[in-house]
Amino acid sequence: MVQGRCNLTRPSTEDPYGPRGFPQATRVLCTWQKRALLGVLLLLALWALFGWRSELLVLNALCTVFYLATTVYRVLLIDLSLRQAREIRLTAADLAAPPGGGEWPKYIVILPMYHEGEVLPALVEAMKALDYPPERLEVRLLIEADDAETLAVARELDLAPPFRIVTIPVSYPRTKPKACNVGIEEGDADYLVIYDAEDRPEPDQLKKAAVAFRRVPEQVACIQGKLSFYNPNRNILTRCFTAEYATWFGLCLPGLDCLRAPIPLGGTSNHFRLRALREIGGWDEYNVTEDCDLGLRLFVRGWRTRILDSTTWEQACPDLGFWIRQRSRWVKGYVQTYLVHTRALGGLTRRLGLVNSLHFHLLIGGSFLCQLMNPVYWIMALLWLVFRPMGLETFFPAPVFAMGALCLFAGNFIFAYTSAIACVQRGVGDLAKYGLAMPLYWVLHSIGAWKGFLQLLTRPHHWEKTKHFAEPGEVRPDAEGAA
Amino acid sequence: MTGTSEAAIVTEEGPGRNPVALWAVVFVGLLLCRLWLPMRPTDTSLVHEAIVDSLVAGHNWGRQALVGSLEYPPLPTLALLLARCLVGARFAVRFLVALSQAWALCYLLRLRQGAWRRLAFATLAGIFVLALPDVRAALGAGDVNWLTAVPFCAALYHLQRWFRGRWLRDAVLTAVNGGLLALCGLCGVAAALGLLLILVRDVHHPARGVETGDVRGVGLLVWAPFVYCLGLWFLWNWLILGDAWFCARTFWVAMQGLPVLSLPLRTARVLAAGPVAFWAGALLLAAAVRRTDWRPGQAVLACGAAVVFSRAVALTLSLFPGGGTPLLACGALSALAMLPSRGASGSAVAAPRWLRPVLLSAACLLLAYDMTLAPPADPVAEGAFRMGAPAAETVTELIDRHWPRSRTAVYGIRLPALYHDPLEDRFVARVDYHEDIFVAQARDEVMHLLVPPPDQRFYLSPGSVFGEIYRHGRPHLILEQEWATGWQLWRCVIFPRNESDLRGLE
Repeated sequence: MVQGRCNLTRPSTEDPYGPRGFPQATRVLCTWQKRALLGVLLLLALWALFGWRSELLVLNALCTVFYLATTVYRVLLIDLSLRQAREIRLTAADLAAPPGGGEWPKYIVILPMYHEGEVLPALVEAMKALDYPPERLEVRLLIEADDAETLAVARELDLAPPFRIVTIPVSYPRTKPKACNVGIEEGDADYLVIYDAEDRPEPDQLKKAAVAFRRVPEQVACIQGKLSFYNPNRNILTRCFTAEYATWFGLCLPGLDCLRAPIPLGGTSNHFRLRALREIGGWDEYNVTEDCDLGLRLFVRGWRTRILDSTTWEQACPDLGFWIRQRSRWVKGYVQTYLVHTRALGGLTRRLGLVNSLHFHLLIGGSFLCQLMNPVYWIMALLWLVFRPMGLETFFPAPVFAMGALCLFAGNFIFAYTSAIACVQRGVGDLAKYGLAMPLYWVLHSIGAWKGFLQLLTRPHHWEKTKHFAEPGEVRPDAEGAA
Repeated sequence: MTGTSEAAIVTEEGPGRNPVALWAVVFVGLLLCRLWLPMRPTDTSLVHEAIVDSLVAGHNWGRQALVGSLEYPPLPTLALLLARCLVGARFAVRFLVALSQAWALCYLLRLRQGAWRRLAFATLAGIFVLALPDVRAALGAGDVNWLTAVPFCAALYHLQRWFRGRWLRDAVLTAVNGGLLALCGLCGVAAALGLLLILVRDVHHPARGVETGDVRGVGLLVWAPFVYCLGLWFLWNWLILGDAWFCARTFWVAMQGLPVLSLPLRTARVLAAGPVAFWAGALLLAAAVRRTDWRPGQAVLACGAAVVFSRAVALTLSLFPGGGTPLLACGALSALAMLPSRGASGSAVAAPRWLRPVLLSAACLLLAYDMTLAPPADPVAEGAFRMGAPAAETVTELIDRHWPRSRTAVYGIRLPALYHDPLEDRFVARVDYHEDIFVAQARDEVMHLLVPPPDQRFYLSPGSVFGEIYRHGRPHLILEQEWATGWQLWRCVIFPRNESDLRGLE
């Protein structure tokens, strides 16, 4: 068991790019990245002056090859996860007694929150429903010192152990990872899990994770629970969001698990060996997708992540405005993570290996690049389909046209179809039709992606908070099933 | 609770997967073996090759022909294009056919479980192929439509696995292969429909003793690729030809040209004279049915019946049924592959005992009859069309006598393939005939029109403008030459622009 106190908040070095001893997103670009970016922009501008047609042709060919690679990669992941899911599955019998005899390991649950007074009572109920010995559990509510609203609600609830309120002092950057670091600096436990304010984990999730940790090699530092939504039918946005989550957690992550590739963590339901988490310095408080970054840092340091077949039910953001804000944060964080980890490009390949670095480029770099590029290609496809403009074919010589057509006609269908497969696989088959309607949803992705990308230039560390809505009438899908 | 725990369909495969490396070796062995064996060129592949040539040359006819015909569907042509990129134009057809046959055979072998059973099936299939001339001839034909056999056999294989374990991946792959079949012409569409209907029925009404469970959305997964691929084909028609239904128009015209009652009668006649080997295989399979709910066997019979019927309808309508022959050969072989197998699930109700000897006797009689038949002169006779056509040089020499370097218009899919001229130097290829466009072209240059005889090989005689031209000509056309085989060469007598002012006399 890990005991005592550690430093996860104060700088330990003079390095402006990694004040706590590992590369952090304190700044968007490092020196060589700035120079390279300027060089590329200059080169493109000069090329455009002397031959913009050839420039566009080459750029288009590169983009098309990239799209094709992304499509093939997606097919590979989906097929692997359908063929041989490696997620850890445990039965009720496995959870009957503590792993290895004796007592259940000590667990800390951290619940970072900011202006979540509305959903706090439901969260407390969900934590109380966890099937874990209270004497081996500590539930920490991480509440910002200036969040009077949430503090008041928490105090009104008159919480007794294992609940504990931890006040987070106001300091820059004001992000969730900073709060998490503060929240785990002291205390002793074997394992730690993080949940969001609106989460409702399955009651046996902690026991499952504890047993799973005993069964997997020591090298496994993190076990990621699956996420799904308890309000999928609220509106069309939540339906599509559910289909997207089903694809990510039901097909993509298990596929990565099969390939033993680095797994970008989801923001919640990450179970850690506390020792390992503290050893690698906790979360990067400057990164707005600290979970994704942490998954990669764990992998780089030789730790592994596995997927657990236990679901945490979350709230799908039902409001378009908040949804776009949330998406913009995710994309901004992905770009941050990509830039942070490519500061030493050769070093990345050396540390991850060639294949795993390809996973990184396709998964982290590929996702935001696709979302940013998609509108350009949608417009071109629409122009081609409706107006048949003369001259467009100049940029699509036969091989590029063939690859482009494959991506347009087969690739888009594959992406939508896999969402439908994921819905069926995750037991929300009635949403499969929304999986097929994903191309419309991708438009919103791109809007969010562009917002995030532009915000990276102006407010790189701003945390676009997702508002969680109280849903008293909402029935959990498992409850529906039981009924 | 998780969604997965509720789902009755199994979302990952169980143990016992076939080792990929071993199958790769088997596949390469079969491929090399097939490449070594002789292969007979076919007229069908000639058309697909011409389309590919035109596509590579960026010719509009190639794009139109790629999507504009049920008889020469897009998937085999696209596969040929890919093969051409890989191994060059000279070996593309041979390579594609060998690859398709080897791949399909691998799937057929995998229908059986266990090395000995596979070996037994391979031996039985070898005897079957050697003994039956029609199957042997079909396998020897260098017909790119053999590509159709790959998604068909893959779908059968995954369907059989679905019956065994209800794995979601198998339902998805059956559906995806069904979607690919939709791009393989009329017989492909029929086979896909047969397969998918059987799959959907099993999803909702599994065999006795198997739980249906949560199958919400599975129906959508099953139909989505098929509907999408068909929709895509129609979209391509709209984009390239300006008419979403262009590819189906020939079929529709042919249907309209036949009296209502004659279609079933003629179809029945074609069915009776149809693929004897398949009937024999089907009877053998029916005789082997020990359980009323023997689903893999039923699937083969249903798909086979769909293919047989669609092929018969196509032949009745004088349309080339595309992958019909390869599909039937595969159907017969897959019936053999199923013979001693048993479904993983099913009721224990046995079929009537007296029926089995009757079916077996009938199958043996049919096989014996089939063995006595002489090998067909051309196993894909329905696709052969070259006989009697004047050579391209003959036509150009004739024209050059009076109208040097003038060009000849050729319409449709087969005719331009026969007089293939990607640069449109001497032959102007178009998929559809529009008289006003032809006349406008003739105002710019001297144009000839080559019209084949109305023997249903190049156009449907009733309902086609070429039938009318052949019989009655046109006011603006003059017959320049009629060959003994019935082919006609017409010249457009509208004077080129700026060379005549006869309009002033009107």
